Amino acid sequence: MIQVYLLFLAGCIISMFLYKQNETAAKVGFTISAVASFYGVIYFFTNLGSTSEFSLGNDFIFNPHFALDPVGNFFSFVICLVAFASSVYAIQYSQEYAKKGSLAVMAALFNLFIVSMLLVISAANVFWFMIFWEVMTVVSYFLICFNDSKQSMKATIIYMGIAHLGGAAILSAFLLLANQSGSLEFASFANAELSPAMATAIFLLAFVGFGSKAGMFPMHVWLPKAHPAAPSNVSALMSGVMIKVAIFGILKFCIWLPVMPWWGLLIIIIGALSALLGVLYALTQHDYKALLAYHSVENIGIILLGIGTGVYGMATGSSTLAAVGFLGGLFHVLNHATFKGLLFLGAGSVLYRTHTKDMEVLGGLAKKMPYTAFAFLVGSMAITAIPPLNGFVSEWVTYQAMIQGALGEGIGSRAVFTISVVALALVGALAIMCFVKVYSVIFGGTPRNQKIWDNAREVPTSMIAGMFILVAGCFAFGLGANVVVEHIMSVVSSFAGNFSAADGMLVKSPMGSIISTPLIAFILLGSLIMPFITLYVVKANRAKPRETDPWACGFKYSSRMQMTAAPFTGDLRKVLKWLYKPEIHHEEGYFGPVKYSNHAQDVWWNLLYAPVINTITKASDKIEKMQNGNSNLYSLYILVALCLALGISQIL
Amino acid sequence: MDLLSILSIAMIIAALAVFSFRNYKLAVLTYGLQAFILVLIFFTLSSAHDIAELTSWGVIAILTKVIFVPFVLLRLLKKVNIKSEDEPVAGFFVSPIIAIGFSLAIAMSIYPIYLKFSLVQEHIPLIAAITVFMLGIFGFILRKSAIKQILAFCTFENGIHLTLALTAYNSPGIVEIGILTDAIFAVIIMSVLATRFYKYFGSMDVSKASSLKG
Amino acid sequence: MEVIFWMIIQVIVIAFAAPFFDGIARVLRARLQSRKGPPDFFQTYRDIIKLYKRGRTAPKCAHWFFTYAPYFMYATGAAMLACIPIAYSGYESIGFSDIFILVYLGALLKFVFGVASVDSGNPFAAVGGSREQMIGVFVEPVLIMSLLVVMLVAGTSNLVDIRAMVRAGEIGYFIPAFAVASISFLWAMYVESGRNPYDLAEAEQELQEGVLGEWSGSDFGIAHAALILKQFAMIGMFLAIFEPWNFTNPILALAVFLVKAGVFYVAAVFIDNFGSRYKLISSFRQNATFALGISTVALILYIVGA
Repeated sequence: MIQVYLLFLAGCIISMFLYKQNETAAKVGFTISAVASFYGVIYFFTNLGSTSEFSLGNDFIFNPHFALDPVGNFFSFVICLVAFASSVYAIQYSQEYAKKGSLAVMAALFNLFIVSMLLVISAANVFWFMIFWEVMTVVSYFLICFNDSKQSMKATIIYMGIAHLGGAAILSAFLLLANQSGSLEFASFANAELSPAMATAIFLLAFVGFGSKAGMFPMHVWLPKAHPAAPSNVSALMSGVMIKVAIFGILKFCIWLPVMPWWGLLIIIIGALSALLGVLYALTQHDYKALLAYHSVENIGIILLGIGTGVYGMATGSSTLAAVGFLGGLFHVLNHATFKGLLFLGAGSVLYRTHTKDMEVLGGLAKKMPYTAFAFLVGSMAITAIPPLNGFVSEWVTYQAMIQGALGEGIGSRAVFTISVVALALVGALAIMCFVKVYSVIFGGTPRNQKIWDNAREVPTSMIAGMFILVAGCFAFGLGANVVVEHIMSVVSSFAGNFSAADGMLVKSPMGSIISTPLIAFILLGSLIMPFITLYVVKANRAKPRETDPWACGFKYSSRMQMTAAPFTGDLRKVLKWLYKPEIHHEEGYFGPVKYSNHAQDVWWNLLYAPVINTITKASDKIEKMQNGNSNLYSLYILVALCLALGISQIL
Repeated sequence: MDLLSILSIAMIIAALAVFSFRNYKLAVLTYGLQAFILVLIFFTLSSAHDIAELTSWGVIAILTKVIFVPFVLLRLLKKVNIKSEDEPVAGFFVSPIIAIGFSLAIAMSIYPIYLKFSLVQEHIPLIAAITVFMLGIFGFILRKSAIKQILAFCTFENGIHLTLALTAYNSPGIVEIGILTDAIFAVIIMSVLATRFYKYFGSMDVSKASSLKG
Repeated sequence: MEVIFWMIIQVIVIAFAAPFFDGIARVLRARLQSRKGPPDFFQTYRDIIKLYKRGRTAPKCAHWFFTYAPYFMYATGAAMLACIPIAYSGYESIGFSDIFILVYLGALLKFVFGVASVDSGNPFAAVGGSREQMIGVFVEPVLIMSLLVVMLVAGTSNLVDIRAMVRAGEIGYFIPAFAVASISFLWAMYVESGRNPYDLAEAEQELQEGVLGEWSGSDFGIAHAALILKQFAMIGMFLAIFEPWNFTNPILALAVFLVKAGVFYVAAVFIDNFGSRYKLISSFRQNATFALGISTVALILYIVGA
């Protein structure tokens, strides 16, 4: 495992050495990270079931100690997979930023970002976990800064604020747990004797802390602002895998702590809320990258549904339920990383050629960028869980787990499980609406802005290659679901129950439900032949279609007539006015044009965050008087603080 | 009065002299002397309590604190070519009195806390360590000159070093490396900054820097 | 292998028989509206074959997805039919007959429909596409709640097993939750099958749909056939779960199924003929809320253990 980390570090250092040769540095740096992550993919896959560890030096207060168990291997694999595609993609994509900043720094930070995520996964004591956790946050912050705009600056500040609150919660959880177990090493945590109240406190702190990083409701507000602000290859990593690192944290705590059934139910409720609200807000977005970011909130919700079911199963002692629940959650971790990475890379390609994030001015790009369009289409179908692609299998497993949970006794748990199943189904319907919108408005129809369309063309090879790596992933994890399920089950059985969910080509659930994705693909393809045979038999007229303008009720067709993103969801917005609380501006022009705008808001921002931010701003206005620029006075503050600290320690 | 107490008191006096001298060159040389006294304290402690680590600390401190830091600062003085300090906060005469008074008071009040977990149970050196540390802090508070502030930093660095020697000489090697290199790099960086500062503002008065406030 | 053989037979037979029932429905509708209507029950066949012979047009802007969308829709509709155990109900499931596969194939159909409608560039088509999605959002909770109750009562999502259980009387209408769920599912099925007053895919462009408006010739014929297939798939889903009594012999089962589904298909004419068309976000929404209420009752009945 250390070789993988060293390769990334080498990439980091070498690209910094090439600081003067900007473009070479990017090519070399991203190629090294591609090689490193490809090696990582193979390494972590072949060693999936094994455990390994290493430690460095003895002269530190907390010696660097890293260990990987099957869960860690699995998450490292997911990170390397998306990192591989994203690095290949970045080799040419990064040229976009050649004038905005140093590509050498970008490549170095990119390598550092990946390795910091990998090291968070493998850290074996609190100290190094927190160090790399913060490195990961800070490096991602720097990477966002490559898009140097006022909006992205604001986004990063919000991101840092919530990340630090989350970090504080995580650290408190760790320290409480370490205090109980008597050591900062993770290995000691499993044996800690905990009272139920203490365990609950630790769990809630960890859940809130990691949840804020994962973007779960109601700590999701930063995610749709920060993820789209980053360069697209970084967005793919942030949305694809960085939030999974937080899921890893939640999972770890659930393994260490003596879990209770209501924790599982809490995770499920939060998951269902995140999923539903994530997709509802995604529907109102016009910025396609923000839309994808909101879908990360949704998918984190779906992952939490699986994890929550697993935790519930673990707590109630039902090992099959635990196994299937965690299987669903972890499978969706892999799948979401794959298709969300793909979608962000696709979005990056569109951005690369059109330089706009507003989908209302795009359109018709499929003719100019056929490969990107195809990749994006596959991603859209995978994320909306259309069989036989990968998203379907993991959602199916999650459904099975939740239904099995609902079969248990107890009105409370039955209610939570059934309502979450319904929520997940509703999310599915809404997600389809959303991805129909985003795909067809960007790639279908006539161009809404001729100039942008004229300048657009297919992206360079390495970007297409990067996307198609993940396209292959979407197909492979779907069609080869039985293999994937078998491997993930070997990971799950290392900490929870076991259930052999793969049976030959089939994936089965403990309830006796079985699906076979190759068969679905086979039947769909077979059915696709049917209409063609029919047409052949009846000797249909297959002359080439005559190309015309679309029919416009007898008027001359204009591209302004066609559907755009906002009205596509117009009905939904009307129905959900109570949730969106939109700002509607209506300007009735007598001679001029009528203007109408309708902007849905993320109400949780106003509800939960705005008051806190206002209070802090006011307080800092008061405190600002203390900052008068005299360094002598600042030293006095230090002295006073020192004396205060001593005084407090004396009193305690 | 044993040797250790004499050295400790000498160190306090040297620190006060560094604080008070108006002439920069003299102050830097006195700092060298103060660091040398620190080294002597290390050696004395190491022979009295049979602590091998402190001998090596002393040898390293000779190289860094007695030779390297004064050398860097003297070069800085040569570069900017100024001889003596401008009027500090509360004047040349009053500021040392405030500094030593408060420093001793604080040291006397908090040294029992440190003593509780010290590895070497010596009263006078511990008081001296905290006093030197505090003198450094007061140097920051009361002196406006950038060079005097660098010296103040070095002074309290000495105080910390002595405190560490008394409380936890057995700390891991990484901590020692941290403390020693920290001083060297900080002094180099600060002297570069001071040169830049002098070029820009035409003086060493850091209170002028309040215009940099954002 | 036998299962796949019967699956193919089942799909082909239904695909070829379905337009006949559409023809009956059209004649009946014409009679109810005091029109003369088609001369016999085979008018839909003639319509489709006529469409196959016509030339085609396509909007300039549309890309390959639009061109092939009718075929995708047809394939999905056929796959949905294949998913329902009719002719092969006597065999073990081979991993295709699952409620979720059926539901998500329906989602695929919606996806294809929606993307094609916007891709056509036709303003009416896209409005219709949006409407179609909205209907999906309204129906989905009702559909899944009803199905969820069934899955919970049966303890599996395997359609073959559920069907066998209902047929054997292990579960059925004697369970209150199951009985209530059948009512709400009937509503969901009716809406999903795209009939008046909720929907009518080939309705006037100005009113609602016109999604099909940009297709012509053989493409339109295929799209038309695909929609009929989808309607049969939805009816088949209801029959497989809530009215599964049938023969085990594949050929007899298929024949009986066709008759039953045909009765449902034709009977729906009575509803869509006498109902007024609903506005999507007012009357439709109220209807959906009512159906949602019924399905919630079913779910609550299950939760409290009744």
